[in-house]
Amino acid sequence: MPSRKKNKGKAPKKKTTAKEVKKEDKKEKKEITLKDRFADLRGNLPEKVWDSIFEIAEKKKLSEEKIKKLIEEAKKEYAKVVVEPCEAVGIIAAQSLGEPGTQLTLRTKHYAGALEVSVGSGIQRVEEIVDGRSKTKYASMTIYLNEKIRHNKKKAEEFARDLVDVRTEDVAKVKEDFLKKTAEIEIIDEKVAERNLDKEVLLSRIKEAVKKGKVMKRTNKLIIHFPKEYSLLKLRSEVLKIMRKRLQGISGIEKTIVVEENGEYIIKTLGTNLKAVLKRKEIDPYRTTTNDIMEISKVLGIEAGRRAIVDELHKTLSENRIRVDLRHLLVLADLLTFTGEIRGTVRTGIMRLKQSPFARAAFEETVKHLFDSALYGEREPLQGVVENLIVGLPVKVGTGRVELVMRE
Amino acid sequence: MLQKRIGSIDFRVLSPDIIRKMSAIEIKTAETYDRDGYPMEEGLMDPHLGVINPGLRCKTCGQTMKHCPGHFGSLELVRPVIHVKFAKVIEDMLLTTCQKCGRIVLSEKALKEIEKELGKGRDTIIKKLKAKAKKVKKCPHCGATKGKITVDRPTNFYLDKQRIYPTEIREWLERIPNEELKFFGLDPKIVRPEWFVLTVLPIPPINIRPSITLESGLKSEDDLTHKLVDIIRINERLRDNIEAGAPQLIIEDLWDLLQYHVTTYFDNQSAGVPPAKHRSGRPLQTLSDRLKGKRGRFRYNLTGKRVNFAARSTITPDPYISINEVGIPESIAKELTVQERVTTWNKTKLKKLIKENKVITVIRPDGIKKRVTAENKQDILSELDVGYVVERMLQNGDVVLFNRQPSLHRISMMAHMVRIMPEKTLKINPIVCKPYNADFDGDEMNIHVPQTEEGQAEARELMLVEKNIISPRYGAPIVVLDEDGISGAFILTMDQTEFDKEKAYQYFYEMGLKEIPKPDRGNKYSGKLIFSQLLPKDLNMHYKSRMCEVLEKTDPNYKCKGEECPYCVTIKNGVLVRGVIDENSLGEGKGKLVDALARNYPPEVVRRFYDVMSRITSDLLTIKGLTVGLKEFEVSEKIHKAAAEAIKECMVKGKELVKKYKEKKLQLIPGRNLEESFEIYIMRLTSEIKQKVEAQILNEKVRTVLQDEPELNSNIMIVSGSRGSSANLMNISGFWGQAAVREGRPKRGYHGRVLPLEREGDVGIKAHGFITQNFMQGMDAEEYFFHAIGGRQGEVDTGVSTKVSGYLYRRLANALKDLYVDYDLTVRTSSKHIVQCLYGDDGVFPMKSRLGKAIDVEEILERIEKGAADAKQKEK
Repeated sequence: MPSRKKNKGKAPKKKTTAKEVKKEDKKEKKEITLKDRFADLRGNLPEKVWDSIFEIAEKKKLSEEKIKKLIEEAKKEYAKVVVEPCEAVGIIAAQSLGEPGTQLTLRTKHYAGALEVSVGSGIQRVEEIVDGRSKTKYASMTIYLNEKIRHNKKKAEEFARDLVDVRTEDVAKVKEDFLKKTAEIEIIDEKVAERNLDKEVLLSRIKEAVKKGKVMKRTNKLIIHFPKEYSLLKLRSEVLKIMRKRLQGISGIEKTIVVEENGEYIIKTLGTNLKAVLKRKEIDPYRTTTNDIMEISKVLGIEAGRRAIVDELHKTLSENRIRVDLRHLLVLADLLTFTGEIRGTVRTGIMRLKQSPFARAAFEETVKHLFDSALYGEREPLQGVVENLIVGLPVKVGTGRVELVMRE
Repeated sequence: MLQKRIGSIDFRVLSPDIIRKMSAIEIKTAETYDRDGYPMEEGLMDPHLGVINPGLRCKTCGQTMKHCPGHFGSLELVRPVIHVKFAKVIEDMLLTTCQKCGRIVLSEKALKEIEKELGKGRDTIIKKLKAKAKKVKKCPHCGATKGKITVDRPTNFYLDKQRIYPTEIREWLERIPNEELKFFGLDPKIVRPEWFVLTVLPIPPINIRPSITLESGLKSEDDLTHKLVDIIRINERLRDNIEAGAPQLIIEDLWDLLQYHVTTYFDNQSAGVPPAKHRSGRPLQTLSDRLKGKRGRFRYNLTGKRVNFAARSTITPDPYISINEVGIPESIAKELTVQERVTTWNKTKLKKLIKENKVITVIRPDGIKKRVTAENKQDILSELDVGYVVERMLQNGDVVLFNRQPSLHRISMMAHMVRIMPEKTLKINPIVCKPYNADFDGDEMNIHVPQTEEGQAEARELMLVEKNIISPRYGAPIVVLDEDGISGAFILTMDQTEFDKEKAYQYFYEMGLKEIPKPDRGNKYSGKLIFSQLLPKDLNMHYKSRMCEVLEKTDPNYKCKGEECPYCVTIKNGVLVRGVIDENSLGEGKGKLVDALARNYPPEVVRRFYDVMSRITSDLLTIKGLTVGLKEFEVSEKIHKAAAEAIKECMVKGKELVKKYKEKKLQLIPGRNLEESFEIYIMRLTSEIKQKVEAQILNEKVRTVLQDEPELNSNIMIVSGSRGSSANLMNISGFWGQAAVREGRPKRGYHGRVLPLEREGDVGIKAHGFITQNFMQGMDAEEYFFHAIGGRQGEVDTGVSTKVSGYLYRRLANALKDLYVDYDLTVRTSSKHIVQCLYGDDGVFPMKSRLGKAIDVEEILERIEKGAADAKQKEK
C-alpha cells in the first residue's frame, strides 16, 4: 500500500518536481540521524504522526527526554483513535457518501479555474467516478509545463495551440469532380484564423496526406488530380481519408486554454489523451494529469487510478462543500481497484464478483442470478450481510462477528 | 430456541428423477374442486400438497397448518418442452456440438488448446467455441455434416430452416458427453443438459399459492394456480389428440401452446412471448415476477422484514427531557413488552409488577407461555421462581431503539431511554432533530424494543445518543444545539445579559449545583457566569467566534485583537472569560466547544451540557422573547440610496455590454464564443453588484446586535449563525438580483424572449431576469415571473436529485456493506479478500479523529509541558 501523502485541494499525482525531490533527499539525510535514533520507539504509529512529531521536535528544539515522552504520549493517544476490529467500515463509508448525496448539486457542468473549461460536477460526476465508467463526459486535462516555458506566456500559448487536434475537415471544405477525378480542397480563412494557425503549413500537411495523384497548390486551395483508374468509390474514400487526416496536435484534444495559476502558466484542455501528452518534452510529466480515471489507470497503473479516484471524489465533494473523511474515500477507491482494474459499483462491476448468489440476487437481476447459480451448481456460503439477513442469522460484521463463550 | 442453523445453501438444477422423487403426488386432472367444493384428488388443490386450512392435517406429513411446510407434486408432460431460462444455454450447445455424436465440432487439438484457457471464464470460452464452430462444416469426430442452427427466440429452434422439436433437442443434448460439459462451464456431477428440456414439471405446494374465499363464498385462486390449470389442460388435450391419432399439424399446434404456457409460467415477461393475461386483462404474476424487483420476494420480504416489538407515532418536541430520553405515551408502553429473566435478585421486584398488572405473560422454564389474568394472578405469584421469564410492560429506564426514515446513516437509529409520559405522541429533545433530520410538522418515528440482554447492552453501550455526538462521516459534532438553541446560548453569553438572583438561582437549580457561586456584577449574575457553571473545571480554550468573523467581514475598521478580543471565546479553567457562544462553539461540524466536551470527557458531560442548555435556552427565550418583525428589515436611507445606485450602475454597465455585444466588440473570454462571453460578463456584473449592497446591509444589521440593549430578533439569528444569512436579509431589504436558471440567465420561453412582456430580441439586463425589487416592496409582474422561474427550477432539482442520489446510495451500500476491519486492522470482504492492508492507511477511525487528523501532537506537547510545570510548582 502506498503511503498517503495527501496535499489537499488540487493534488496531481506526483507533487514534486525533480528538483524538489533532490531537496527533500538532503533534508531526509539530516533527519535520519534524529529519526533513526528513536526508530525502535515508533511502534505502530502512522507515518504522518511520526513525521509531525519530529517536525515539531525540530521546530521547538526539544530535548531528547522530551521527545521520548512525546512519542510515548502520542502512542497512547493513537491507541485511542484506532478502529475497533469488526467495525463495518464499508457501510459507514457508503453512508458517508450516500447521506449527503441529496446536497450535491444536479448541474452537469461548471467551469474549472476561471471560466474556461467545462468540467462535470455534482452528483453526476460522483456517479461517473463510482461507476467506473470508461468515458468521462467532460474530459479535461491539466497540463503543467516544464521549467523552460512555465513562465513564458507566449511559448505556453504556442504549445497550447500545437496540442489542439485539427483535422482537414475542421479548416477546409472540399469539392469533388467525379468526371475529371479531381478534388478541390479549399481552406476557410475564418476557421484558420479562429485557431490561430498557419495556412501554408496546413496546406503542405494536407498535401502529405495525398498518396497517389498530382497535387496543384493555389493560394488558398489544393487541387488534386487522382489517377484515372480510381473508381468513384475509391475516390470518395480517398477524399474522406484526406479530410479526416490530422494536420496537427494530439488526437482527442479539442480545445486548449492557457491559465495562470500560482505564478505559472498551465494549460487546461477539453478532451484528453494522457499517453500522447506525456510523450511531449514541453510538459512537466510529474504533475500533468487528466480527470479521466480509466485513462490514468491504463497509462500509469492501478495505484495511480486509485489515487485519481480519491482525488476526483474529494474535489467534487469539496466543491459542493460536503465534508467526508478521506478514509471513507480510500475504502471505496480500494474496493474499486483491489482486483487490479477499475470496477464500478454497478451490476457488471464489483457486484458481479461477489461469490454469494443471494447478495447478487438481492441487488439486481434477481432471476438471472438464481438460474445461473443453479446451472453452475454454486454454493451460498452465507458470509456476507444480505445473505445472513435473508436466512435470518446474525450478520457477521460489528458485534455480530464477536462470539462470547462463558467460562465454565 | 434455535435448534438447527443453516450453514450453507447449494443451488442445483432439478433432474426429472429428483422431481419425481420429491413429488408427493402426481397431478392428473385440471379440475381443482369437485361439485361439493372439496379439493379434487390428484388435482391442483390435492391435500397431499400441504394444508392451508387451520384444523386440517396434511395428508403427506400429518402435521397441522403451522408445521407443515407444504409438499411438491409433479406433472408428467406428454411432450417435452424447453425451459425458457435455459434456452440460451441450449442455443450455445446446439451451435457448437454435432447432432449425430454430440461432441463439440472441433478437432482434438483445438479442444486441447481451449482447455488450457478454461480459467478465463465461461463467457469467453463459449464465445470462442461459437466463433470456431461457426466455420466448421463437418464434424471432425464422426464426419456428419453440421447444419445451420437458427433460433426464433426464445424457444423455437431450426436446423437448416427445418423446425427441430424439443424431443429431438433433448436427444441431441443427451448425446453430449460428460467430459465435454466443462467447456460450457457445467459440472456433469451436478447437471446434465437434457434436463433443460422438461419432461416432468414440479407442481408447487399450495402454501405458496393459497386460494382466497371471498365473502360471497366464491373461491378465488392464485395466479400460479390459474397458470398451472392452463398447463394441465393443454397437456390433457395434447394427450387426447395424440391418442386419437390427430393430424401432425394439430398436435404441433397444441405442443406449441403447451410450450407457451410453461414459458409464461416461469417468466411472464420474457421477450418475444406475449404475456399471459388474467380474465380481466391484467397480466398474470408468475414465478419470476414474484422474485423480481423492489416489491419482489428478495428485496421486499427477505432483505426487508417486518418485526414485532415496534411502535410508531407522531413526534413532538420537549426540551425538558434529556437527549438520551424519549417520551413514550402510556398507551404504547402498555402494548410493548420486554422479556426479563427471573433471578434471585429481581424476583420480588417482578412479583410486585405482577401485582400491579404490569406483566403480560409468564413463560415457565419448560417453555409454556401463560397470560396473566385476574383469575390466575395469585397462582402465578406463588409459582414464579428463578428460571421463569417474564414479559413485562415497558417502564422508565428501559432502552429502546429510535429511528426515522429515510435511514440514510447509522445515526438515523439511536438508542434512547424510555420515559413514560401523558399524551399520544413520542417526545424527543429538539437537539436530536439534526441526526434524525426530523422536524415537527407531522413527522412520525419508530421505536423498537431490544428483547435480549445482549441486545439491550449493545444498545446502551454503543447506540445511546450521548455516545454518538461525533459524526463518523467527518469526525466533528453532528448532534448539536441548533436554531433556538444557538440563539439562546448567544443571548445568554452576550456581554449585556444579566440576571437577578431569583432567575439565576432557577438556572443553578436546573444544573443541580450544590454550591451557589457569588454574583459577579454587584447584585446580579452575568449570563457568562451562569454558562460557565456548565463547563468542566479543567477546560481551557481559545478560538475565534462567528461574531468576530462577521465583524471582520462587514466592518473594515474592525480588527480582532487575538487573545484579548472581546468577541472571541476564551475559556480559562472552566470559566468563560471573554466572548460569545455561537455557531463556532456549538454548530454542526464546527462547534469547537461541543467537540472538546464530547471528545475529552466522559459522555455524561456533554449530555449534561445539552440537557441543561436546552432547558435554559428555551426558558430564556420564553421570558426574553425572540421574534421576527417587519421592523428589523427596514433599512436606513443610506442603504436605499446605495441599492438604487447599484441598480443604476448595473443598468448602465449592462447597456454598455449589450452595445458591445451587438457590435461584436466584446473582448472574448478564451475558449468561449461571443454569446457565452456576453452571458458570463453579465452574470459577473450582477453578482458583484449584489455582493456590494449585501455587505452594507449586513454591516448595518450587525450594529444593532452590539447595542446596550439589543432587540432579540432575526439579526441575532443571523449573527449567531443559528438561522438565516445575509442573503436572506438582502432578499428582503435589498434587491433580489439575477434570477438564475442552471447557472445562467433564463433563456427559454417565447421566440426571442422569455416572457411575453419583453421585447423580442432584447438581451438586456431586465429582459433576462434581473430583479431590482425585494420581498418588502414586492415585485412587479415581470420580475415576479422571473422569480418563479428560478423557484421552480430549484423545486424540480430537489425532486430529481433525491431520486438519483437514492439509487447511487443503494449501489454504494450494496457494494460496500460486507467490508469489515479484521483483528489485524486489514479491511476485508466477506470472502476474506484483503481490500486494504491497514484501514484508511493509518488505522484511525474517522469518528475518533479530529476532522480527519489522527492525533494533535502539539496539544500533547502542551499537555506534557504543562504537566512538567505543575510538577515543578508542587516541588517548590
